[in-house]
Amino acid sequence: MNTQNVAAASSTKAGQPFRPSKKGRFKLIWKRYRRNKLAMLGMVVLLALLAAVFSAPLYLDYQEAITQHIVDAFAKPGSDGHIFGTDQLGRDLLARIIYGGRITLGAGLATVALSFVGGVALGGIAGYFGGKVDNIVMRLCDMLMAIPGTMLAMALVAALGAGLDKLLISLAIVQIPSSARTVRAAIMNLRNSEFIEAARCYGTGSGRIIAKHLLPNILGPLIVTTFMHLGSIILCIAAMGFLGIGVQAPTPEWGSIISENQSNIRYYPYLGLIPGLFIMISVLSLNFIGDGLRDALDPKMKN
Amino acid sequence: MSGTLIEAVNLKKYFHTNAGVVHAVDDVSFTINPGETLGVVGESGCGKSTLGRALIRLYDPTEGKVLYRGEDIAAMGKEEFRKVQKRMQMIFQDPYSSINPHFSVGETILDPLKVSKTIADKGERLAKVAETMELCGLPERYFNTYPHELDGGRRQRVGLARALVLNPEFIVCDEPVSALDVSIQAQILNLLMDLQEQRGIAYMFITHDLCVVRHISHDIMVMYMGQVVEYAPRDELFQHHVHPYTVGLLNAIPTVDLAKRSRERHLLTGEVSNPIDPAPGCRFASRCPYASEKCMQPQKLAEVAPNHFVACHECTKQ
Repeated sequence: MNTQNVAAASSTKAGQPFRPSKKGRFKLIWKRYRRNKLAMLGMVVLLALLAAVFSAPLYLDYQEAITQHIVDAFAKPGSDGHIFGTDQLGRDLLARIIYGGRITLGAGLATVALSFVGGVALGGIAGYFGGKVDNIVMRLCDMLMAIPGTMLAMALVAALGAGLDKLLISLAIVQIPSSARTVRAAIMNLRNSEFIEAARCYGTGSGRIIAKHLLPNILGPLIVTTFMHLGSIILCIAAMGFLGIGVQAPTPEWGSIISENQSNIRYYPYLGLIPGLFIMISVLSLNFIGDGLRDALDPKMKN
Repeated sequence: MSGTLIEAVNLKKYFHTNAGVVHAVDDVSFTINPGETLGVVGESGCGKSTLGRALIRLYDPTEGKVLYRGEDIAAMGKEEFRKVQKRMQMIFQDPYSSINPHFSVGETILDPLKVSKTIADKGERLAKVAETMELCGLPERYFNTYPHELDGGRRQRVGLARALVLNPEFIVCDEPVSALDVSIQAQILNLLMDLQEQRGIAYMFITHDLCVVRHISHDIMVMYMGQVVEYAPRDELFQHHVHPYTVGLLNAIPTVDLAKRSRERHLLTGEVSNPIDPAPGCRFASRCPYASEKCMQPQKLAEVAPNHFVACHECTKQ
């Protein structure tokens, strides 16, 4: 027995037949992700959208999106150089969509990220510690949830002041309670598992238990629910723009492109359809990515 | 290095629930010597697992003390306790829920070393993991395997390796084999006993399986509703058990001897009574065939033979 042990130990030192590698783990996750065709499609589409939208200044002048040419108003899609046509003020819809995507996708993704982080932190703490801490955090969340989301965001923007960053923060605050609730429930479910007790046995601290043992186990479903919020966040940004808070008039933004054209949609449906299509495509691809990630992060899925 | 390793002194653990106070462990005292196994038996809900968890301070006791080499672990400071904590580990009943599904086998066994910072060097840590895996009969190729790919027995070996990697002197085994099938039970039990022989590890072996406890224990403690009803060396207990509850328990073991087919059996009837705010008397009285007035008074453990203690006034009379 002993000689075998020594042999095992020395062979490890010499040849390293095994090693725990972070790289190996990511490789596995990537391998599982890649097998999901829809998720790959979603990722390619979203990346293409992001690339097109964020490299816009390289190939398109911002003036295209905001300069008015009343004579060119309501040009049909495809007519003289306007691939998506023009709106009631004669602005090129393609340019507006490209520059609008910078705000919609940028702000939308940032809000999703913020609410994810906030929700995980609050829900994690409430779920893990339970008792008084849980009560305080969750009652605060209940208070926020009692106010309709759009109202709350408006009130917060009014309190914080105008600006895209403030809008973003207030939208994130609106989303945090619901994701905190999801995280808390999932963590409470796992908190008393034997593997958590086992980790406590050898002195694992609370922080490490949450980060290493609890979160990885709830991450998959969490990503899916968080990504699903993106759609409502985009609509919320649009609603804010419509109400005159957040994104202001000439600045393009997908939601506000729809809302400023709503009176013309009856005769010029492309003005609503095209930006709507872009919102749909980005929300859909993000949801596909979320689904794919959930499966890829689960080690139980076959390789 | 002789002397007592673990000692429980009047240990109590109560849980406050909405329905009242649950006396999960009520005034339990015992000692465990290095390299010895204390078997703890009793039916479900009698406080065996709570007792085990209280010993390694997963629960803080309501009253009483747990002494590790004479020192009270509940009174230790954080740093001081961390040192002791490494010497006391636990293995769990359910090999499916006791291992983090997101950790590979290697990571599971490595994690205690990382957290407790016993070995600073990364290569040495890996070598220690390899050695422990070997010791527990886990081939090295399982290093990057995830737990769901292993069967129950191998998972239990992973749980054992995770406990062993810190070189503990004492392991609480909370029904480690009851979720496994019989052939694998034997493998794990033999592994535990081999380890005890090689490394002088002491076990507290919690189980409801009397055959298992007979196989592995030096001393056996029978618990009923949070209290010790009988405590004796293994052979003494199996040959001269006196407490009515122990008699009932041991009679429930099936025998293969045809001659004993028509033997008189004192099987237990009735249900465990409510552990919430129990009456002061003998807790077994409601199910005991010999119950009398005197049973309503608190029962003290008394020595009926050398090292054989019973908490029953009837049994200690003669």
